[in-house]
Amino acid sequence: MRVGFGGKRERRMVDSLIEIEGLTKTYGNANALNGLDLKVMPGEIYGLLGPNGAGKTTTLRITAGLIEPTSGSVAISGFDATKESLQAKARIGYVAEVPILYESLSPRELLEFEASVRGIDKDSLNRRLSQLAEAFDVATAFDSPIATLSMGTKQKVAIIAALIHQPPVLLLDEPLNSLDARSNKILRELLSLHVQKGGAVLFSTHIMEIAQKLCSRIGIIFQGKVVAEGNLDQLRAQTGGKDATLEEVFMKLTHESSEVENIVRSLRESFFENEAR
Amino acid sequence: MRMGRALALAKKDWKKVLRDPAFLFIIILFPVMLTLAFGTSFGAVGGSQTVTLNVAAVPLGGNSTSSLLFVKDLQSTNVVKVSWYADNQTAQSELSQGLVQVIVVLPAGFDTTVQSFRANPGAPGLWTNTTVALYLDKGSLIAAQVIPSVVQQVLQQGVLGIKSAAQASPFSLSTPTEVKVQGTTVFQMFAPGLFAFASIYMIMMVAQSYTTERESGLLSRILVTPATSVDILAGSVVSYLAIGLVQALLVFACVYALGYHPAADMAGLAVGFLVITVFALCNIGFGLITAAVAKSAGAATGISFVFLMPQLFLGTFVGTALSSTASAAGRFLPAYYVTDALTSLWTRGAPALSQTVLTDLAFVSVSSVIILMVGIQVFKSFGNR
Repeated sequence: MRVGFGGKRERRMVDSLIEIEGLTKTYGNANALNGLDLKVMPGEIYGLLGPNGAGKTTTLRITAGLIEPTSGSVAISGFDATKESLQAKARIGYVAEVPILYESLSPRELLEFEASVRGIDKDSLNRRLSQLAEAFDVATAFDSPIATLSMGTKQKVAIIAALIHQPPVLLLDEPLNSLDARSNKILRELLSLHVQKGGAVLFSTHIMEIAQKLCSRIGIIFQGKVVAEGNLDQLRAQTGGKDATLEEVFMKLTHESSEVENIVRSLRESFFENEAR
Repeated sequence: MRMGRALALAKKDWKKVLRDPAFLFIIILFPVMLTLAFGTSFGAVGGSQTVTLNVAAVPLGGNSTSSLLFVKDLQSTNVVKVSWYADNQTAQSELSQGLVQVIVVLPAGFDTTVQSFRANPGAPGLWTNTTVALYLDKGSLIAAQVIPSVVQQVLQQGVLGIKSAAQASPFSLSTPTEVKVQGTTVFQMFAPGLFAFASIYMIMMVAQSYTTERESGLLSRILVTPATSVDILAGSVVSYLAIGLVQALLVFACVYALGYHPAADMAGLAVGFLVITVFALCNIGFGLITAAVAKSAGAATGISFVFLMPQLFLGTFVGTALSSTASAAGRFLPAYYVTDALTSLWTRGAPALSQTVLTDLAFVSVSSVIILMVGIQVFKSFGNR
């Protein structure tokens, strides 16, 4: 028994905060996930990297308990996300790819509502709100209707909503989208502090530099399964390129490097041919 | 279910609804406009248009003292203009031509019945019971709505001198208790139906709200929290019940301002509002079923009419003009009992705990809870696809 985030007493001693085993998800005849396995340990930021349609968002949505898998299992702090969904959800902070918020409420009303639903007392809420609002520079917009806010500010509000209950597990789907440089930096620092405290982060991104800079481990997801994972050196070792960049490793693992080379060659030929005429 | 969580969800729903112009139109502007339109069209505004119905009185036993007294009292209600007819056949002919709207057939033993009652008012066993037959122009909403009550009142209070509605009578006429309809306008007769009419649109509001939340992904915001489906639905029910009550109060304020002053004491008013509020549960239930079936907010609007129309046409004031089959069908709908209860309580002045009102309240409560439970179950099973 150990004390977790937000004062919650963890029922189980577990190695991993997120454990996904044999996850499959089928939509009609299409397999979005095809036996995906991954574990995220306390203190880890795990980056899910993959091409469009690889299954990143589906993985995050199943882990957050928003959709049910066709088969396989997800455990959050040892709690089965399907059978013990309430316990699992209490330990999750989730940011969707596009911030979807109640447009008629103000950020303060939204966050107070979410805090009430999660049982956070008013004092703790006010303390955390003032910290996070200042950190993300949204204090001035806190009482305006969300409908009037910019996409970036909405994204910041969605991030604050995911952090407000201090969950041990953060599930972030392209969290840095729409953020300005300042907030981008703040969020990355916050994630570092979160894992230093023993939390775990599972996030998806398309930006190689971010993944390389921020993640303890990276999982390359392709056609609904993790085809390689590890830190950059481990990934390089798996692809045989000693000095390869993450982008090169990614292209190789997703079998896209030769395809991309062919397309670029074709475009170049076409471009210069047109110019010659 | 955690009460704090449900209340937080209710508060959120309440704010959301109050800040949405489309929802505000449905819950506030629409009932107010509807009430004003009816008030203007049917005599409550711009003059005191009083209803006058042509009634044919057919005394099969001839012009006795009792039948003359009945006609005199009936005439004094100012609702009708009574003419004597020697036989039922002539009166029926006039009715079929629309020259009269009502025929009251006083049986041959009418005078005997009155005398038997006066001789032994406390001994029903010694009375000569009889039935007064009524023929109504089904095309006349007013006749169907008001005449049975007025005739009942005149027979009891005028002819027999019975003051209490609960007291037995040798005359049988299938209408509720104590009637106080004098100088009644059409609007006053229709007013109770307006409450059910306005509330029924909650079906559309609930269905649109849920489908919009699902379509936009807003439902995910809640589904990612530890709130259970029971918390979410309880929050909605609390919020829409409050909306239903506010809507009823608004309609009440409008009809009151337009001259409909309920003939009820505080208990009667309270039971009336209770019936309307409970009826909101039924509309939430139908709204949830609609939201579970509909794939989009647009589809929800269309599908909601499947539940809206029968209740509107068979269960509110509109139903009084329908065929006997349609009227009988209306008895399977909660809206019918809401209108009936409010008519008994507020128009006829029936006591809050009279049998008619309690029966109506029981039907509305049981059917509304069942429909709500079905709605919750259907939405839980299919609503979050």
